[in-house]
Amino acid sequence: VRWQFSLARQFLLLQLGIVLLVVGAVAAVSIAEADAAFRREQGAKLRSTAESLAATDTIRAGMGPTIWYDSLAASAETARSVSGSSFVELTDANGTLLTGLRRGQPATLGPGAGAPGRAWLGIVEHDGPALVAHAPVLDPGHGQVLGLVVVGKMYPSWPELLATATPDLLTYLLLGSALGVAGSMLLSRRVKRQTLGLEPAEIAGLVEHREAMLHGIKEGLIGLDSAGRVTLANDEARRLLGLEGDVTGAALRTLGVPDELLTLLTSGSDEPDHVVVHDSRVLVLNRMPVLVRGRAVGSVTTLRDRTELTSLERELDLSRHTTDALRAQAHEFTNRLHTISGLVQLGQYDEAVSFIIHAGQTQHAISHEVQSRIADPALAALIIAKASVASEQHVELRIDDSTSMPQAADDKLAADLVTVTGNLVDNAIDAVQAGGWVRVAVRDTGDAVEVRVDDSGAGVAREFADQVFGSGFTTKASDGHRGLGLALISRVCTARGGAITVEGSAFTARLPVTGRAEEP
Amino acid sequence: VRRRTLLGVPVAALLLGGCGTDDDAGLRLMVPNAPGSGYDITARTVATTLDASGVRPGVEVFNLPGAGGMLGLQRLVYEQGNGELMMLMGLGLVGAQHTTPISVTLADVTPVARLIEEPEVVVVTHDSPLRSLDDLVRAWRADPSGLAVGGGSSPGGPDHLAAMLMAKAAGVPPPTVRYHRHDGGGVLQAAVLSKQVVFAVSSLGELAGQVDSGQLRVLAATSHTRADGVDAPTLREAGLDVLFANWRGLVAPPGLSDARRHDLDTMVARLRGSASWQEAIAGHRWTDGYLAGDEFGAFLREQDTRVTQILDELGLNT
Repeated sequence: VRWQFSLARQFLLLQLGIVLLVVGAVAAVSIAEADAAFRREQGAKLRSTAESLAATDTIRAGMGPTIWYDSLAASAETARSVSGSSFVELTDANGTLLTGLRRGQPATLGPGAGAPGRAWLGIVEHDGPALVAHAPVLDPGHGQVLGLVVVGKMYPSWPELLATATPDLLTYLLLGSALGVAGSMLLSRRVKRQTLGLEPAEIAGLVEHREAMLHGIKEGLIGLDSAGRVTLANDEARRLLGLEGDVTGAALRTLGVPDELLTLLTSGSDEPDHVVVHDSRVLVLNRMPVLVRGRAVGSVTTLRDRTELTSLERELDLSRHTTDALRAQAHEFTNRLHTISGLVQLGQYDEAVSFIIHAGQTQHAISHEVQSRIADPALAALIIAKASVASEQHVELRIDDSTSMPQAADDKLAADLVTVTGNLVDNAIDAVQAGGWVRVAVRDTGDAVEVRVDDSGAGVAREFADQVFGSGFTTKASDGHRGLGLALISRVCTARGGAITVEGSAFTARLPVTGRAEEP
Repeated sequence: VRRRTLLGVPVAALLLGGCGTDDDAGLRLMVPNAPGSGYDITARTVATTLDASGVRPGVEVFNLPGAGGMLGLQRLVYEQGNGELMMLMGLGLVGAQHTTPISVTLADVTPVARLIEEPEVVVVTHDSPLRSLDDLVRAWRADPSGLAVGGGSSPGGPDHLAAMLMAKAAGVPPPTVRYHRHDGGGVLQAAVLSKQVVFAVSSLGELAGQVDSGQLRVLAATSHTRADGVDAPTLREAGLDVLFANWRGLVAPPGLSDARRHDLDTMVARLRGSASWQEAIAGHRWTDGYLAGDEFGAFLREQDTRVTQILDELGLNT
C-alpha cells in the first residue's frame, strides 16, 4: 500500500468528495422537488381553470347544436389570459379543435384521456412538453358530453427548474463544504492524537515489525493477562508448550498445560532462569510481570529449550566419567608405584612381587566381574570408571550378584542406561560417607533392563518419596542445576514407557527394551 | 465498491423521497351547483377541515352546476373508477332525480357517508303581522293560493319538500301552494325582506345572518328538538305534525376498488372524528349526521322512496 497523502489530507479529500456527492444529490432532489411543485401547484390551477371554463353557460351554449366559434374563441382567450396558462383549447366530443389556428384538426390529447366525460391531468407534447388539464363540457339539459376544455402550461426546462432551486443549492453547497472541511480537520486531529501522531504507513510498519520480531526470535514468548488468558504466543512458544492453532484469547488452563507449568506461568516466582521439564523437554523460563501505569495487567514469559544443551551435557558427562576414571586410575597407579618403589628400596623383593600380583588381580577382578556380567560396553565402561571414582573417595562400589545383562543394548538404550546409571551412582557416592558402599544391580529381564542402585547412606525420607522426581527437588546445596538429575532420569524412564521408584536408599529404574514408547 | 454502495443508499432514498411527493392526482370535491350554495359551503368546509386536521391536505373543490345537481351526478358516472373524486350532495339531489331528463340515479354511484343534518326554519320579516305559526296556518288555510311561499331549492328540493309537508299537515292541499323558488340564501332573504313572499322555508344556515340581526323572525323549526340559538318552537310543539331535516353527504364515482373505497371511508371517518370538524359543524349550526358507507346507501334508498311518494302526491314526478 502506498500512501501519498497524510492522514489529515486523506480525510479532507474523502470528506470533500462526500460533501460534493451530497450536494449533487441535494441538487437532484431540489430539481425533482421543483418539478413536483410545478406539477402540484400548476396542475391544481390548470384543472380549476378547465373545470370552471367547462361549467360556464357561454361554453355550454356555444357547443350546443349550433357551434358559436367566435364566442368560444373569445371565452378561451379570456380564460387563457386570466389564468396565466400557456394555451386554452376547446374541442368537440370527438376531439376536433373548435378554436385556434388549427381549428378543424384533431387536438393533441393526453394518452391517458380515455372515455369522454372524464377529467385528466398530465404531460403532453405541445411544441415542447406541457402540463395539460382536460375537463369535459356536459349538456346541462340531458347530460351528454358536448366537448372538452384543454388548458395547458408549457413545462419549464431543466435550466429553469435549476434556477428555481439555485438559491437553496448555493446555501447547501456552502454549508456542506464548511461543515465537511471543519469536520474532517477535527477528525484527522483526533485520529492523529489517538494514534500517537503516527501516519497509517508507520502504524502498519510497527505492526509488521512486531509480527516479524515475535515470530523471528528463536525463543518462545507467551503473554498472559491477569486472568490467565493468552494475549500472545509466538510459534516457538506454541511448539514448546504443545499448543495447537490460534490460542490467543483462550485461558491457558483450558489448553492442557500441566499444573506445574501452569502455576509457573501464571503466578510463579519471578526468579530468573527457572528450569522445568515439560514433555521430555528441558525448558528455561523467565517470567516478567507487565505493569501499565503501576498496575499489573499480566505477564510475559520467555521459554528457552535446553533439551539439546542437556543432551550435550550428558555426552560431556560420559567423557567426564571416563576422564575421572582415568585420573583416579592414574592416581592409584602412582600410589602403587610408590609402594612398589618403597618395597624395592627396602629390599623386600618378595613383598613387592606379591603386591604387584595382588594389585593386578584386584583391578582385573573388578573389570572381569563387570565385563563378564554386563555385555554392553558403554555401561560396563561407565561402571568400571565409577568404581575408580568411588575407590578414590574411599567408597566401595559393589556389583550385585544378580547383575546380568547378556546382550549389548542398542545405541539409544545404551545412552539412556548410561544417563540413568551414571546419575544414580553419582548421587549414591555423594550420599555416603567415606568407608561406605554403593551397590549396583543391572538385570536384563528380556523386555526391559532394570537398574537398581542402593547405598549405605540414610536414604530418602518416606515423606519426600513422591517429590524427589519433580523438578527442583534437592537435598544438596545449590549448584546451578539443582535437583535436575532425578527429574531428568524420571523423564528418560517415562519417555521409554518405564518408571523409576525409590524405597529408602534404593532407586530402581526400569527401562523397556523396545524403542521409544508412544508419545505420552 | 462497498463504500460507494453505502453512499448510494441515502442518495437514492433522497431522490425517491423527492419523487414520492409528486402526487399530481390529488383528491377533488365536486359541487354540483353554484359557488355560495349550501353544497358549496359544506364542500369547502370539508376541504378546509381535511387540510386543517391533517387528514388529507390539498383537496381541491370545483363547481359543476346544472340540472339541479344532476349534471354533477352524470359527471360522476362518467368518471367511473376515479378514486380521487367525490361529490358533495344532499336531499335536494334525491328530488332532482325525478324532475330532470337526465337518467342516471344515486343508485349508480358509490355512497361514502352522510355528514351533517340541518333543520329547516320558517321565517317572516320582523314586522310581519303573522306573529306565530298559528297565525300563519290560519292565514294560509284562508287563502292558499294568495300566500306566496319562498324557498331556496327547486321543486323536489328540501325547502320545497318542507313547505309541502307543512301545507299537507296544515290542511292546505299541496298542489294549491304558491311556491317561489329563489336561487340561494341571499336571493331568498331579499325576496322575504322585499315582501315578494309572505314567508320563507329554508335551512337555518343560509338565513342565520338575518335571523341573528333580528330582521327575520323564526316562527318554527322542522327538527325534532329546538334549534340552537333560535327562540322558536318546533313544528310539532306549534301543532303541525311534521318532522323534517335537510342533510348533506358525500358520494364517489361508481366502480371503485374495495381498497379505494375503504380509503375514502377511513378518511371521512377520521375527518368526522377530528376536533376541527366538530367546531366547523357548530359554527355553521349544523348537527352531526354521520352515517357511513352501506348504511348511507340504505338511507339514500329510504329517502328516495319518501320523496317519490311526496312528489307523486303533488303530481310533480316525471
